[in-house]
Amino acid sequence: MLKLCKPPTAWIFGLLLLVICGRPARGEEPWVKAQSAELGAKVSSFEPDAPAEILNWRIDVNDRQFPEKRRFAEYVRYKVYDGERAGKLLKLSMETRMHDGYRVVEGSILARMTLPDGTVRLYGKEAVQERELVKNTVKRPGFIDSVFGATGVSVKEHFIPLGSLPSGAIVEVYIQQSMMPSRLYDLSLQRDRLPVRNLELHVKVATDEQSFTHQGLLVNSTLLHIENNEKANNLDITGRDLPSLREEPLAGDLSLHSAAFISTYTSRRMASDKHANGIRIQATTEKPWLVISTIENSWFEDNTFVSDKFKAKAAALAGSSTDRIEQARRIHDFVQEVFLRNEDRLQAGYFHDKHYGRGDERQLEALLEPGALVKNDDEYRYGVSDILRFEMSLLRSAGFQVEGLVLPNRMHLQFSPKHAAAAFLADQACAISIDGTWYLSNPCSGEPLPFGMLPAKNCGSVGLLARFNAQDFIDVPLPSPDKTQERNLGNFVLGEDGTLAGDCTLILSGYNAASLRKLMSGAAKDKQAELLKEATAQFHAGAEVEILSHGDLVDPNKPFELRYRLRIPNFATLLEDRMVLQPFVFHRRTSSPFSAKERSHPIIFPYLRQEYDKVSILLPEGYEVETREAPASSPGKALSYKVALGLDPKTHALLSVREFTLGLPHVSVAGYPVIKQWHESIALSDQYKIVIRKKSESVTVQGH
Amino acid sequence: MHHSSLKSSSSEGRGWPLGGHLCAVFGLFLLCFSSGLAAGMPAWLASAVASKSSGFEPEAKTLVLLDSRSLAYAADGTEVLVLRQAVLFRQPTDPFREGITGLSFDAKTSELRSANAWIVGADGKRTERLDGESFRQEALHSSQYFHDLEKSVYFTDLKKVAPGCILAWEYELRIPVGVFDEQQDFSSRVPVLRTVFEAKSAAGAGLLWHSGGSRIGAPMVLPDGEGYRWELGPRPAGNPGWFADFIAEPFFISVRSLNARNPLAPIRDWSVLSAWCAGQVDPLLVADAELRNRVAARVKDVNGRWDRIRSLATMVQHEISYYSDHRKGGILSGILPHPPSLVLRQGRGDCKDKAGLMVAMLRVLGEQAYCVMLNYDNPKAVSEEWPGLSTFDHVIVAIPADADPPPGWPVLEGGPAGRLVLLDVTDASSPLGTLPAVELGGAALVLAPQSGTLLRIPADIGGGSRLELRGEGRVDGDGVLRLKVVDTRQGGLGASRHWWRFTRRREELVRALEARVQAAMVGSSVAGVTVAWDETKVTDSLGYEVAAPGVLQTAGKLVLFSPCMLAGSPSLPAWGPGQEGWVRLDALVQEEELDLELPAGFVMETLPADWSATDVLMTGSLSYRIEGRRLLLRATRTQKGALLGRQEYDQLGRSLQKFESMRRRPLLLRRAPEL
Repeated sequence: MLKLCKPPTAWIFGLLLLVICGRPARGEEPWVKAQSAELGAKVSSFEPDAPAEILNWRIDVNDRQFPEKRRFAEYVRYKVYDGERAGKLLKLSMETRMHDGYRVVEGSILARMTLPDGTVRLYGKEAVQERELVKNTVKRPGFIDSVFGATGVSVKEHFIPLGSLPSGAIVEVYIQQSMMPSRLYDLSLQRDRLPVRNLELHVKVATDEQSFTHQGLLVNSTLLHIENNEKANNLDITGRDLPSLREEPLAGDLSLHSAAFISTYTSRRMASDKHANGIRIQATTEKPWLVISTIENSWFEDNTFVSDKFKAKAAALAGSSTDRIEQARRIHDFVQEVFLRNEDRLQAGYFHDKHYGRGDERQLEALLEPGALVKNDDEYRYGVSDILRFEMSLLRSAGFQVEGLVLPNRMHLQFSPKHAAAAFLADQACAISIDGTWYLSNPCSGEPLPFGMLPAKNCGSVGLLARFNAQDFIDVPLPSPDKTQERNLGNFVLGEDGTLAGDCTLILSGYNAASLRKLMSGAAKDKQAELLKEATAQFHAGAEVEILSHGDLVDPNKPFELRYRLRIPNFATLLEDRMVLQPFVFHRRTSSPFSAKERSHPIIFPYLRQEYDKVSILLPEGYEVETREAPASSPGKALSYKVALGLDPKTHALLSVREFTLGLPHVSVAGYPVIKQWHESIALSDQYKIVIRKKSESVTVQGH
Repeated sequence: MHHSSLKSSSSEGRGWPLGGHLCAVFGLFLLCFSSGLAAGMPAWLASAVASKSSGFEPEAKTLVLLDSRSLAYAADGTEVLVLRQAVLFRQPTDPFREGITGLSFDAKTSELRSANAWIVGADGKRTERLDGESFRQEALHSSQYFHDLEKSVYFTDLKKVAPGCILAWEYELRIPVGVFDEQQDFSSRVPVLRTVFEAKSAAGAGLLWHSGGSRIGAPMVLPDGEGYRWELGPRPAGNPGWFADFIAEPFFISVRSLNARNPLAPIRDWSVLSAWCAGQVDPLLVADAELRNRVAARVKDVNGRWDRIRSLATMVQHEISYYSDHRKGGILSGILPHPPSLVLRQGRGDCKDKAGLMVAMLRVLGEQAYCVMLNYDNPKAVSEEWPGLSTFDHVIVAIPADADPPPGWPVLEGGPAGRLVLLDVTDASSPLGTLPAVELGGAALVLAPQSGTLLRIPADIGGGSRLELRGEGRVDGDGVLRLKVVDTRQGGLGASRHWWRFTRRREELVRALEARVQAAMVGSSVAGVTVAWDETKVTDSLGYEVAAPGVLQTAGKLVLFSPCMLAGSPSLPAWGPGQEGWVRLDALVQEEELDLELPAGFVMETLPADWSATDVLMTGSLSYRIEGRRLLLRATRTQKGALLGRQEYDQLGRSLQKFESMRRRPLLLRRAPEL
């Protein structure tokens, strides 16, 4: 048809076509006309006191251009029930990022508000305000950048200030973004304090299957439905009536209990110095981790070296010890020192990036020197993983069989070997085989841990050995409760005025000691005693504390020991000729961590632990114990609580012993009432009171 | 010394014409050349490096060797501030490292002219010089509630600074003088070896200065007589962020140029300052027809003066979103509100906008209301002897009280404007009749053409809050307690709890209540939660029922029962080492009453004796009475509103501990012999 038109007509027609077709933004606007019933609704039908709810939430993720670009669109339609309370929950904003003039994240935001009387207010481009959140004045040191000017990093917030939010209104917001895609993203599909009526998530997966394997995973998904259109390479997820998120103690990361979609791409191609031409590994249904294991293997192997310098250092560390475990421990301790010295000079973040692999034997060897610091430059920054490979190099040079190990984080995600994706095994460690037993080491966790102990978040599941073309998982159990102890020992004298005074010893081991050492590592030596005094005084509220001595805050293999003098005025209550006191001095204020009647999420304990208290209270002269009963004990295997009270007939001292063991890593929602009751019975026993009474004057009558 | 221009090193360099490129190439050569010349360290840095082994604070991870600030006023109404710091980083891990190089400034009015840094090696000789490329600028307020151009610049390459090295940096900032004094705060969370502050007047103009706090001595006059110089010796680290109610001792110097361009230069009196501010603000507080109509509609069916005022206050507090926009208004943007009609139409504004709107609406009603400036959370910030605007950061409203304002209201007395009811229309959790606790105890400037002045808001204005806890119930022979509790809070405490409830779901309230009750009564459960809010009396009531097992503990032939379980146990955090300042204590009257039926089959062995104690800050009393099987308990505690120094704070801690120990005393019951 166009051929028949004269040029000017064709131009006009073309222009018209351009005008009609050239309005994608308006055409894409997703606004939905508010129905009178919606506008008239006063409360949420399934969470009646919610200040607002999301009527429709649609997310479109388009990864067809992965790894160059990801397109993201989000449409949210809020119903406001209480304007003021909802005001802080509706954030109509998005961020854009530029790096040296290159748009890393760009996008647009539009909004619309329908007032209760049906009046519609549009908030288009003119309503959007922007401001710079970050601007880096960096000028890169290259000639071109110096001349033409690089703009560094710029982060801007684009937001729509709605002003007052009338109750009854419907607010719609539409955000479109395109960005440089990360391999892993997770979308929480529930919102804090906002229930969701209808949810749609549409994912267009990357089609380059030669380069990437896609793994999409729905977690906590009982309320969601997923359809996998394999032909079109699309995932469609829908859900209805998703409740708002509820915060609970000991529930782990949000990803453990929020409905969420996790998407990861895992590279199918390897780039390995030792397999320079690249190797194609094909995962199988039985062994879905083959590719990942092989890639991880290349990361470890490419940067692990056996050299004379490493051998010499390993031999020097071993000294005269012939015990292989002791030799490995000394290497671990040395590397941990190197790590702690360099911690804030190391690039944190995701391990799987070649950029952070130094790949230079001499650079790693340089860290063998006393007090050595890593030397970052513009090309490479040392990563945490380099220090791990430094440890592997030392261990290998000492003749150990050592392999890389990649691990899940149990506080973040429930790991299943069925779902193969590198992002699910984001943490690393070394696995050392000594006489057929695996010993695990991670000197780079940040918390100074002894050899053989991994961060608790990485324990309680499995680890994948980073082997070439092999899929081998090994068990990584949580350290048993006796590895993490808190021991409180106290020898006190009770005064007639009710004041308790005496010397105490606190001994911490395992994760307890590691946490304290981490906390103290930021303080100067002279401040450490002050901080310990402050913390101890807070623990014994109202008490006077004097620190007598404290043990090693560096060596992870030793338990930490603190000796202090304690004076607690008004410790015992005076009642005419009696006194009432609490014998379990160190836990007399214990309350149950579980106060809520009901529980929505499983309980995740960070680690297993034990407590042991032994207290002696010398009673004032002339008093006798009136209480005859002992508080309740609840001995058991996984959960155990035992208390004992007695009176030393020689010294007239009240003796108490308390033992507590938590040997359960997690408890299901169904088990909540039992664990709640167990903790309550412990709190009752810990708060137990003893009555002592002044003996009546005894008169000795001598008979004839 | 070389200064690289931040402006030319950033975005302005892009898109230059060809000539610009040539300039840039020429500039590059110049840069290389000048860098070569400045390979050493400047004299000020050399002297700081020389003091490295002073022996002061040898264990400190980070030590500021020199904190030097130099302020020079120019005749054109601007000032140039040069900040120089040299810091020794002894260890790589110190939480204070990250923020130490930060400087905030208003990017709208001020120009950051240069930023330079030097890293001096641990040997004190090898020096690396870094310029603008190692600095980053960020928006200071990263929330949707602020829109200003306040920025922070900081050094980004801290990782280059190895242990034992010195990082030194220098900022040069050009600032319009405006109406605000230049205020230099010297509080530091790391120890400082030497502090220097110099202020130079514009030629012939003169300077005024004021030192905040007792730690700063008198300055010496500069040789040319045109300025002053302060030098401070070694001082240990302060810790201003101890806890929320701690107010650190002020530690700043304010300097004011007497330049003719500064309208506040001749002002030496609060009344004159008040009149000047009122002259700037009042003309803006005009009510247009729309605003008048809104006021009329709002109060149409409301009778009573205070009810009408409350209705308008609620509207401003709840229907105007907080949004601070300082992009316009030039150097007066910090004190001039947006027009009330605009604030009302847009439904958003900050404290001065909301206060301005409220005053304009009250004037429509025929009320003579005033804007009042104060410092929001530091009652020590404003000094009576230094009339100026720099230390104010918040605006509230004052309304003339009538003969008999409701009891407990914050009524400010003693000023020429008469008795004034204070009202904060920005804080939605403080309805008419209360004032946020953080605003108490400080000075407030009432803005009025004739009758304005500076007044101090008493720390116990209105008598403080009142907390009443009443419980009624019984304990059975199995040790199960069933109690009906009414927890009533009036004044600030009531308003804040109401606001807490208002902004949360009921489920959250129940969970918080369960946690509180469980802390006092192990294993207890909560049911039948009811709530009520009386805005006119600023009273929030919470009713609930508690069932707690195991409240009776057997001890031989006796049974123990601790009846004081309703109120929580107050305790004070220990006064931290090196803290200098005050702690805010809110005025409070707390009453706990319990009417409890004790189990049958027991006789009273020991009933705690009545007790009372009074000291300067607190009174406490406990009384116990038995009527048949009923135990009647009454515990009261009254504390005064005040700012407490260290000794008073420790005294209060001891008084509270004694009160708690007496309150915790159990009853001893004995099982009655069976007949």
